[in-house]
Order: sequence, then C-alpha cells, then structure tokens
Amino acid sequence: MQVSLKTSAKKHKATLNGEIGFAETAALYDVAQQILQNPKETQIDWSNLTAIHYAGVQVLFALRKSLENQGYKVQFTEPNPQLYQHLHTFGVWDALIQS
Amino acid sequence: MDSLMQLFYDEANEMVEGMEQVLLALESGEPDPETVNALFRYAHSFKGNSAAMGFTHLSKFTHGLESAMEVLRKEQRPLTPELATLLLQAVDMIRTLLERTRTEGDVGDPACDALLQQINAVINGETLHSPVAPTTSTTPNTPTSTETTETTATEGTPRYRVTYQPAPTLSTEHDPLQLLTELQEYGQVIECRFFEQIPPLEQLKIDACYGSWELVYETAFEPAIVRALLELAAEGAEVRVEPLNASPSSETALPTANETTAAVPMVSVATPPPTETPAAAVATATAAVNTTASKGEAQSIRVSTEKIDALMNLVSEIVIAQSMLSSAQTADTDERVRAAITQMERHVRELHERVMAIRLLPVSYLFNRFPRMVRDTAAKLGKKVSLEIEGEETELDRTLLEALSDPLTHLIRNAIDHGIEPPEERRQNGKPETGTIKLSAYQSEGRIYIEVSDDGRGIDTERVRQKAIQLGWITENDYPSEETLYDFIFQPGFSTAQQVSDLSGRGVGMDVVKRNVESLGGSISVQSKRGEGTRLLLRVPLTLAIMDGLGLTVADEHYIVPLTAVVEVLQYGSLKHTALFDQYEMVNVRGEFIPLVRLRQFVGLSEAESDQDELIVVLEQEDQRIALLIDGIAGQQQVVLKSLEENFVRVPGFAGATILGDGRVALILDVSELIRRGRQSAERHATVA
Amino acid sequence: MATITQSTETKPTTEMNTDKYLVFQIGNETYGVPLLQVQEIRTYTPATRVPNAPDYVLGVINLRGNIIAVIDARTRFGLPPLPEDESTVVVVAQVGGKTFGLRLDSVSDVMDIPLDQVQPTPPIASEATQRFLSGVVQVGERVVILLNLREIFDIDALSSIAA
Repeated sequence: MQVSLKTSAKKHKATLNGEIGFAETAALYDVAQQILQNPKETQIDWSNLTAIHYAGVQVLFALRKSLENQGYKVQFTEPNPQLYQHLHTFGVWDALIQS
Repeated sequence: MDSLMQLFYDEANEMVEGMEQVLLALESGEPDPETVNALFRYAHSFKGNSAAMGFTHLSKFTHGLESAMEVLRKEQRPLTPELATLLLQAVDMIRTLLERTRTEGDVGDPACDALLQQINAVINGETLHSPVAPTTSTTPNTPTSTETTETTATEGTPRYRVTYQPAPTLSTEHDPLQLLTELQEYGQVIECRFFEQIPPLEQLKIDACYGSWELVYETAFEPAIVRALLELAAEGAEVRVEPLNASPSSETALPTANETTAAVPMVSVATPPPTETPAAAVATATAAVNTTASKGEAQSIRVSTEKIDALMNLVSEIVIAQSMLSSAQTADTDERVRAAITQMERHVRELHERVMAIRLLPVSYLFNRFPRMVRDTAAKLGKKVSLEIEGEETELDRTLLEALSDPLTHLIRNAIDHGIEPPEERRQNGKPETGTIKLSAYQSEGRIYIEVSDDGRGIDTERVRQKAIQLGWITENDYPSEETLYDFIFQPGFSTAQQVSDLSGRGVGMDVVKRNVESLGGSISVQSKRGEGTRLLLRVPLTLAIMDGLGLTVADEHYIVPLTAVVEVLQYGSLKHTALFDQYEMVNVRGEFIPLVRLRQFVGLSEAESDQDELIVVLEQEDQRIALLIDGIAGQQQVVLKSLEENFVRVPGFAGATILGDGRVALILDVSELIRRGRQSAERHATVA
Repeated sequence: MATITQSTETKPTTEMNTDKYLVFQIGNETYGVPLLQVQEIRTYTPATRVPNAPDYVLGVINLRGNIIAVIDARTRFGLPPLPEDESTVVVVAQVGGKTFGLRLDSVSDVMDIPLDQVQPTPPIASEATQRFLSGVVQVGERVVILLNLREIFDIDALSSIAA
C-alpha cells in the first residue's frame, strides 16, 4: 500500500511508501482529499518513498496550499537520499519544503 | 494510420538507419566521439519514442543495447568484428520488431534477451553481467547505477540555458521530472529553477501539468539532444535551448523572478558519494571532445509527400496554362498583356525551380543502405570488398531516388558477385586482396550522373560474343565493336547462367535495370577493361517533370526534343551528305561526319516528296552526336513531361508525352534511342569503309 | 426461348439482380458495357498518333492532364472505321487500374440488364473477337451483346510494342 493515512485528534500522518507512479497518483489524491475534508496539521512521512511521478508532486503541492489556506501546516519528514536527489536537482524540493 | 503513428514510424526508421550507419562507420575505424554521440542520441530518442507509443518490449531492448554500448564507450573496449556483427544483428532485430509492431502492437521476441546476453558477454569477456536496470518511467536513475554522467570538465564545455514547458498533459509515460533526470546522462545541470502555478487541491486536475523549468545545462553533446530528451514523451512541450558562454568559471545566473528558485550553485549528480567536485569530475580520454560549439540547428519541418506532390502537380498545370497563354498571343495582343505574360513566364520558371528543389534530397539517402549491404553480401560470398562513396551531397528528385534504389542495388550486387574476384585470385593477379567498389554521384549539364565502378575482373567480351552467337543474334564471323557487345548485355534474354545466381537473380536482369533507368528518362552505359574493372554510368535528368523542349515537325505531326540535347539547327540542303548503299547516311558538319537519322522514318511516316527545305537538328548526348532530319521547327517551350506508361504502355523511342499549348498531345523523343539508331548506321559505315 | 422479363428503368428492380449498362451501336449490333466501368463520355477530339502502335489504337489524348490511349471500337472488331461526325464519342473507361478511351459512332442510353438472363455468347464471332464478348442478353425487343473491356483494351498485348 503506497499511501496510508493515520488520523489522530491533532493531526494527520500520511505515509508514502515505495514508488508512486502516475497510476498511483489517484490514490494519493484521494488521501489528500480525505485530509482536506477534515483539515488538521499534517505530516507527510515519505522516508520510504523512493520515487514519485511529477503528478504526485503536484498533488502534494496542492494539498499544502489548500491546508495553508485554512491555516494548517504541512510537515515533510526527511526523505531518503534518492528522492532528495531527484527532487532537489530540479528545484522541486526547495519549492515544496519552503513555507 | 493516424499521423502521429506515421510520424513515429518515419522517425523510427530514420533513427534505426542512423544507428546502423554509425555502427558501420565505427567498424571501419572512424571512432570519432561525435559519431559515438550520434549513436546514443539515436538509440535514446528511439527508446523514448517507442515507450511513448506503448511498445515497451522494443523500448526495453533498445535500452539494453544502449547500456551495453555505454559500457563499451566508457571502458573503451574495442569494437571487434564479432561484436560489430552482433550489434548490427541487434539493429536488425529492432527493425524487425518495429515492423511487427505495425500489426502486432507491443510485441517482443525471445531472441532479444539472448542477443543482449551475447553482446554483453562479448563486451565484458564474462558471463552476463548486465548493468542495466529496466526502466519504468517513474524510477529515477539511482546514483548507484552505472549510467553515470559522463562529465567533461574540460574548459569550454558548452553551456545552455534551457527553458522547458512540458506538454500540458501528464501520463505514465510523461513525467517531466523523469525527463529532466535523463538530461543528466548527457550532461550536467548546473542550475535549475522550478516555476509552478499549482492550484489548491480542490481545483487540481491530476493529469494537468502546472510546472515549468529553467535550467543551465552543460553538455558536450549537441544541444539537439536536449530537445530530443524533453520532447519525446509527449507532444506539445515547449523547449528552448540557448547557448551560453562555454567557460565553466563564469557565473551564469538565471534571471530572478518572483517564483521560488532552487538556484543551486553546483549539483553533483550521479557520482559515487565521496568527494568529487563536479568541476574536477574525471574526464576519460574519449571525453576530451572538441566540442562543436552548438551548430546552428538547421530548421526543418516534415511535410507529407502527398502535399508536395499535390503542389508539384499544381505547378506543372500552371506551367501548361502559362504556355497556353503565351502561345495565344498574336500580333494584336496588347503591349501590356505581352509584358505581363513575359513577367509571368519568369516567375513561373522560378516557382517551378523552387518547388522542384523541395523535392530534392541528397543522394546519400539512397547510398546509405549500401555499406551494410556490401558488407553482408561480401561476407556471404567470401569476398573482401570495400565501398567508397563520393558525392553523396549531390541532390536528386526524391521519386528518382526511390526509383533508382532497385537498379543500383542490382548493379552493386552484380559487381560483388561477378566483378570482384575472390581474395586468392586477386592476390595471384597482383591486386590487393580487398576489392574496391566506388559509388559516386555528380551533376553535370542539367543531369545527374551515378557511377558504379569496381576494380574486378572486367567484362569478358569474348564470352559475351559467344553468348550472342548462341542466342542467334550474330554469326560466328561477326566481330561487333566493344560498344555493341556491351549493348548486348542490356538486351532481354541475355543473362548468362552466371548472372542467375541466388543473389543477383530473381529475374532482375541488366535489361530490367536499363528499362527502369530509361523509364525515368535516363540512360545507362558501361565501360570495361578485362582484368582491371568495370564502370557503369547511370544518367538521369535532374528535373523529372519539367524541361525546356524544342518542337520539331514532320508532315503534320509535332514532336518534342529536350533542349539540352540540341546543339544546333542547320539547313539540310547546305550540307554535304553521303549515303552508304543508299541506306546509311551521314552529313558533314564543319568537317565532322555525323550519322543522319530521318525523323519521318523514326516515327513511321513515309518519305517526303523532296528534301529541299528540310532542316537538320544536331543532337548530342554524352559526346555522341546525330543529325536529325526534320521538316520544320515549331518553337521552344517549357514542357511538362507526362508518362505514357501510366495509362498506356512505354513506347520505345519516346521518353514520354506532353500537352501543348493548344491542348494537343505531343510525344517527346528519346534522344538515347535516336543516337543508338545513328550509331548503328555509323558502325556499318565504318566496318565497310 | 427464355422467358423475357420486361425490365425498364422505371420498374423497381429490387427482386431481380440487375446492373446498369451503357449501351451503344457498332455496325448493326447493340453492345453494352457495365456503367460502373465508365468514367465519362466525351466528344471525340483527334488523337495524337503513336508510332508502331497497332491499327486499332488511334493514338493518345489529353484527359485533364493525363495521357490516355483511344481505341477505335470498329477497327478493334475488324470493321472498317467510319469517318467521325458530330455523334462520334469517346467512352472513357477504367480497366485494371488504367484509363483509356473507346471511340464509338454513338451512344444510345443506359439500360438495366438482368444478370441472370445473360447467356454465354454463341460462337458467332471470329476467334480473335470472341474474347471481347462476355455474354448475350435479350432485353425487350433488343439483343444486347455484353463486352469485356479488359480484353478489348488488352494492356498485355499492347506492352509487346515495347519489345
């Protein structure tokens, strides 16, 4: 299961594992929607995520923007080096992480 | 087949051809880095395009090939003949699979893996150790894969500013991040900025692309590769590549914008963890590429041949209409109308030339397939042959190119099969073991000449004579001239048992070659020296469709002859003439005796009452002349060559037909045939004299 | 005597298998060719003679930019040709991918020919011309002889002038 969501009273924790290709982006989108229906502080744990299609990246971006519009923060955990490399080289990491 | 598919196949075929060319060039010992780069470009583009079209097996196989060659390049392993053969087999495999995809879709072949294994085994000198990870579009190239960036840190590696706006729709195959990552295989991303306009989740469309990038990219490859990589997965990407200063030390900062930047001074990509600073990244010897500072990429577009043909037909019709207009002028025609017509004539002529030029392609398109064919055929026959090609930039109408493909193939096969001797025989005769076949093209006098010459055994004229005797064409006592004997070779029915071999047989005799060339309005001639070699010369008109013609009349019939063949027009009555046995006539033009051909006779009309006011048109082709006896001249005009074979049959003696200004059809004379007629006459004259 | 089905163009022909034919006179006989093979009918314009062609080939003409051959029907059938007049026409037909013209004295009309009524041609013609005929059918008062255009045009025989 690439995308799983654990919700507590105070926050959401979305865990992203393995590879999220274009096909899996829909699942990611669904989880993001779930989060938005019940907005809280959100943590994205992608420490075990090795690859993500750009479409998935956009979903994360969009989620962050939506949550921030409602005053909630999104926190990303430490990525694994592969993912970091992938996102960092092309300027996506910094854009996503900055708040 | 929709146009996208067609485009894919067009490009795919080009890429596969390109790969083959490069491999052949490499094999013959020309390992210049640019060539190697080209090979990777082709393979890479092809791989991506195939994947985009859903032909995953094809793509994977190409990827395997690419990786194997990467090892070859990096480790500088030699390209042995054994390896070259395997790689060429792989190209063949790609070709076959490509063809099969037309009907079978994403088809693979179990032989693919085996072939890859073999290739890798030969490269590594050990059992399979493929460094390849099969690609899926979502897996980024991990830093530990062997597809490391070949960074050339030599001063002067060109840099480019790349603006990349991906195609608007994302999909499994279209992942902009993935595409960008692939850039790193061919160069270094120095700086990169990401621009996004991603809406909040409620408004987000998953498959829409809201991002774009700007980067500074350093590569020794041609900048076209950037485009190739970024545009391959989806149509509609906008990519701009601008060269920047090549010096690595200069700060090439990206213009600041209001968007998030990720300007990173230097990114060390895909190198093993420790300390290498990119600037000092190891440059292997072969990577000391003398970088061609980005050549201005010649802009070109693809146009379907139907559109070009439609345009050509239209221009042809305009030429006819214009000539109708010209001939409708009378003495009473208004001055202004005359002037307008003259001007229009000029413009139409230029229009014609320019449109014809569109159809021109360099003859290299035709010649490209021959190195491979020669290599394979020679190997099959146990001969050593090297192929030299000259003048491949000579341009030719594309229909001619296609039409010449079969004849040339046959001639070259013939040269290898019968012309070039086996190595031992050559050695015994004091010749180098490797025979040479030279293929050259050049333009002269409004015609294109293509020569196929070899340094083989030459034509055995005695054998030809014997065969002709056998066929009953001549008797034992006849000793025709060399030229006549060579002519025999081109007659139907001549093919000697020798020629009907499995390679050059298939009912494609020299007579068919001659007929094919002649149906294009061309001619073929041969020269040979026993023991030294043979030279075949093909002559084809430069422009297929429109030419300048001179109208000739006999009785009330009107014929056209190409103006390029006309030397002069003289009064018959003013020339001395002789007639051998009242049959074989010649006229004396300024001291030179030229054979006479009566056009009336040629076209099957009865003789005229008297010769008084008749004219002579001296025609020349390839240094051979005849004097054509006619009744009158009907003026010069631009003439559109139309085929007789399309709805009728080929008529010997005529190169085609045309439509005159008044709508009537006029036949166009075949000058080669006229000259042949004259030569027969001359020969008789000479033999007896 | 076969039953004669009155079939005119106005009668619905849904039950019967008929085809439309272009019908014309050559000499005293009525002949027909399938309308589907006919591209157009033109008034006759003089053709340009083609040297060494058989006598039934009148020559070539310009058909909207295309060069096509014109064959004289009478000569082809072994009859002496007639001088042309206002009613002389050229029927342009397509056969085997090639277009050619057939010169006729005149054209009558279009008829519905009931295919199941077509009889094989009795051996009335000479061997040479027999192959031009593909059947005989009686339609009303008239006897129509159906022609085989492919044999009449006979591109293979013509190709031999290229020898």
